[in-house]
Amino acid sequence: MTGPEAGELLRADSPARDRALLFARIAIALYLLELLLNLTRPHIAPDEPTLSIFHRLPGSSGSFGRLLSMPKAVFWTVVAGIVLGAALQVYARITRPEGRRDAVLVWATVAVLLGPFSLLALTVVSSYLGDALLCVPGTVFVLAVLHLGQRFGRVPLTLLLAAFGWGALIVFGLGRAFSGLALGTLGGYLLDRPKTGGSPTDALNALSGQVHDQYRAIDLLLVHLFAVNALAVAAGVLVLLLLLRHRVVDAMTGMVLGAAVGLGYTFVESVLFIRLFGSLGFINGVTGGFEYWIRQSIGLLGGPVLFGALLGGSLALALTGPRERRVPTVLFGLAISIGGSAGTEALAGWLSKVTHDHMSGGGAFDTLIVSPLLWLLPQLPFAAVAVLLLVAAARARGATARTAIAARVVPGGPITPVEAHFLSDPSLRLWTLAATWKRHGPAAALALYRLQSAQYDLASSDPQEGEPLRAKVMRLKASGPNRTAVPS
Amino acid sequence: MERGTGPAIERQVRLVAVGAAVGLAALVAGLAINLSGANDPPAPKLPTFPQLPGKAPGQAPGPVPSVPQLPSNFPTDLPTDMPSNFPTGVPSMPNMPSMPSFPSVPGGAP
Repeated sequence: MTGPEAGELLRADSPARDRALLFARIAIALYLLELLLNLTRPHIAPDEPTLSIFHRLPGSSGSFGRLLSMPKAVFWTVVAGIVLGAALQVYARITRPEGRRDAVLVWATVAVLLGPFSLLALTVVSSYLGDALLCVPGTVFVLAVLHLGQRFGRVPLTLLLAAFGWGALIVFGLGRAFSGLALGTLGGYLLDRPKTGGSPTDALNALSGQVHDQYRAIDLLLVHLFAVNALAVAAGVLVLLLLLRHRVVDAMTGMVLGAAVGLGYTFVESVLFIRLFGSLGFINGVTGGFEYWIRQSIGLLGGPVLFGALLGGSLALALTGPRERRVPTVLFGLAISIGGSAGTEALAGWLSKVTHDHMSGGGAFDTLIVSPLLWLLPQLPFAAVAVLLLVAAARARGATARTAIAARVVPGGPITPVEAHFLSDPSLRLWTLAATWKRHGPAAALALYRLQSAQYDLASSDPQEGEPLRAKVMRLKASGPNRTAVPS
Repeated sequence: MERGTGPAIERQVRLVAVGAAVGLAALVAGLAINLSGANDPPAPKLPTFPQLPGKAPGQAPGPVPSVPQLPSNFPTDLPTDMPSNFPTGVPSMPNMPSMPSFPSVPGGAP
């Protein structure tokens, strides 16, 4: 799908637009609720600012400060975006625009409401550009696997990149913004106010208790973070699935989109954690190099990518499955994502702690084998479910695609009977491409690849919406010197 | 968007349900581990300090013994008339016309 076609899709699809605006409103309402809870929290220190996100611990500048705090400029930009978004909605209510103008106004409102949260991710990436560049190869590799690994019809590359961008900018930004507030709120309710005038022993005992309470607050904060992340991932995947509503959508479509969203989130999080643990290695022994190894190499398909794929697959099933199963299926997806993310994080940490009580850490064997294995071990049941779901979805897609291709066969038309034979069998299609490359060169193979992709798009599209795609296929068939390479 | 109701969809929904059950189990296990403190980072243990005044471990119940009364009848008629005619003339330092020079620091002075 080209850029102008994608733009046309965004303008023409009212359900996706309406849902995007609804999700943006819900996100802002929840953010305002978080702000209110933070404003009304019990203050544990006399000089605490009104909003805890403005509180800076001594020496918490740099990476650590960026992880825990929200820059004031970003916060006020978010507030300005909320005000401007509200004004745009009032303007739309008064003027009641229609058609293209309405579409532009709605998407502009969504961008104004949610866009400022992306500044948090952009700050991280721009601050540590070198680390971000290191993460590019692995990320591009997984994106290519997601794009090229789909059988039959593919998610358009534009939407795949949109999913990646949603994860990197919006999911990361919302997660950090919400968690920054929640950390202060939880601390206000869980931590005791420091007592003044006590003896030194009283102060030491209180400090010990405060450290314990701080750990509990962080435990709850992690669950909160994963819940916010899962809801943000779900909102993005649902909007993208609705943009594809004129095509055949199945669990594999949702898994690809969800994995791309998770990959975007992983990209920014990896940059932050590589830098953060690179700075704190003298305390906990973990280095930035180890974080790169575990997040951008061996574990790149785990964590947010794995849980994003399972959540996306669940949402696609909810949209395409029986209507009475819609709500339970969405809840299943959220349970996998929230429970899996929070549970595996804790279990992996615990397994690592128990193991390293009995063996020394930090060596080559530990770094390359033991620690990655301990991180991946709790995720194995989820990976098994994902593989089984992928296999089941691929089989179902194959059956659906063969039926759809057969229904579009017209002698001399966009899909001829011979072409249908090749299109229905992915391995035969691959062989055709290789043979065309060998006999006629890469240009002919590329032309054939484009033609077959357009035929798949046509076969998986809604019959009422397929006229432009039919014209595109006929145009590709008629064009250029590669015509001889196309089986007919 | 087309809706499917076949056995293939049912099978996939069942798989997702299994995943949800595993997810909830993982969440419960993770919370139990975290909230029990089993996952807390290792930190030097602070000794538990007894409250003062208080009872030492193993001390029999009962009233805290009172501190013995110290004598308070110290003599107050100490002499206060200290001598005030100390000599104030300080002897002058001897004259040293030629002090030996310090050897130079190798590499130059900082």
